[in-house]
Amino acid sequence: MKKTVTINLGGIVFNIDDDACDRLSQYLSDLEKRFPEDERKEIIRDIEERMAELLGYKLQNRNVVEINDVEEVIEVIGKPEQFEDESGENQSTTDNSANNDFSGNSEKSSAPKQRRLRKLYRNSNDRMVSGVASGLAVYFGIDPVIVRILFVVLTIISFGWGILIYLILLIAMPEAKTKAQFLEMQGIEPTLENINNFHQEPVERSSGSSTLGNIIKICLIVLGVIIGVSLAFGVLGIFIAMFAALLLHTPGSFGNAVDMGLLGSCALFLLCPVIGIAVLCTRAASGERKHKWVGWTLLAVWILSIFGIVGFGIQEGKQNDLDKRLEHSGEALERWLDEDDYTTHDEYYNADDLDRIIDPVLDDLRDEETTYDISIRTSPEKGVNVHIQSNKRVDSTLVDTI
Amino acid sequence: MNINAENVKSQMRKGYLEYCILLIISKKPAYVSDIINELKEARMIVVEGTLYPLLSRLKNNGILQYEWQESVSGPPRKYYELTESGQSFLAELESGWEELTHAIQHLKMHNDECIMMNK
Repeated sequence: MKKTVTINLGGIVFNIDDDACDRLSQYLSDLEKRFPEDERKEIIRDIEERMAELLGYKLQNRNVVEINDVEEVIEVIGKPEQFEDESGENQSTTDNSANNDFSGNSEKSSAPKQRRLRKLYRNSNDRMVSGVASGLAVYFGIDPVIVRILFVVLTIISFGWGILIYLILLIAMPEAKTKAQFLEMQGIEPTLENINNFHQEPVERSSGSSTLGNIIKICLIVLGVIIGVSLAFGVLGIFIAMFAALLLHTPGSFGNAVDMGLLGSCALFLLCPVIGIAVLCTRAASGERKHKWVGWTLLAVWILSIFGIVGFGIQEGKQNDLDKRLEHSGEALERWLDEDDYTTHDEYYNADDLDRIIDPVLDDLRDEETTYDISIRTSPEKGVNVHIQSNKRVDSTLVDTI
Repeated sequence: MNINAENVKSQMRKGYLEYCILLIISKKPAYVSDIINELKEARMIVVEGTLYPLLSRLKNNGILQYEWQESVSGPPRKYYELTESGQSFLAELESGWEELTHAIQHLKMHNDECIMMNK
């Protein structure tokens, strides 16, 4: 005696033995895994319908589907691995250098998968330090060993600049983590089918090379710390020097927006790399890359700071020029007040700076017995109007336009 | 890659499986069992499972379409037929096949001539 269950296979009801049912559902779920996700449902449905049809022929007048029937039908439909061989369903892309086998059927030489531009990722599956070299190698389709040797040679002949380039690449290149990213790295469209067929094994490194990796890592950290600390001190020094210079140069005027802007830009310009190296050190130490945006933000801020330096520098230069001219016009004003005749000036200056001309004039005037009434009016269209009234003269006006 | 006759033959079959399927369907709308029977007769496939992913792919690429039709015994069946782009696709495969057979024939004739001359 056997237990039977009732199933609906492709829209037809069958009474089926318990073990036969298990076999059947096992087979169907095996099949399901072989098909790309988007087609899976439909294909399985078709196959179920066909199986129902075949079982219907087999049963004739019997009532119950037995395990033999199921086996026979499976024989007809074929085992999953059998019909994969026949249809060319899995097309393999041979990429032996990266040790990837996408389909497990590297013997097939059917049409290549849809190719597209490769994306640059760090290949963490085949790495000595962080996968930069290996990522580059995949990108250019060469052996990673060549890239590594190039890095070492470059570092030696360039007195260490190679390491800096490596660090920059380390910041710039994201690590390939998902299957889709590994596919993109190799220039393969990350469709569901391709992702499903993609099996990637990390390249096993012998303990020797992994200690080498660790040694390099430690060296990098130490180097990073040294560079970071020395740069930090250097930046601090430069900062103090600039501060002092600015204070000495224009006493009392500290707090000017342009000066502050220039100082700030310089600070950012120098600080960003320091912060970057600090971030790198922590990353290398922890082996994690949590905040991707940090690197990019730093780079963006750094570039902005360059613009800032240029912009504010030009402003600063103009201002110095203006200061000189104002000084000049201050003297002229003084002269004009000393003499009794009226002269117009064709110097141009902005309203804020008029105080600076007027102040020394006022200082001089204070001692004298005559009283002066000086009023300054500004309007955006006409410019600055300086009105000076003394008890000696009725009225005298100096009009300057900006 | 191992080169043996079986392997190469299966590769050949594989290459022209789509063509065969389209040939069958182009005669008249067919449902899966019809297609399978014909292919089996022509010894183009060994197991049926091969066919389903292929049909699904051809359908998704707009080469085939299907209609549901009532059947006398059992549930309705999918009847596949060629779409318009399927027709031109088939025509292309046709010319590809012509070229291939022509090439093979040409090579064979050439061989025969050589043998004749040697004699």
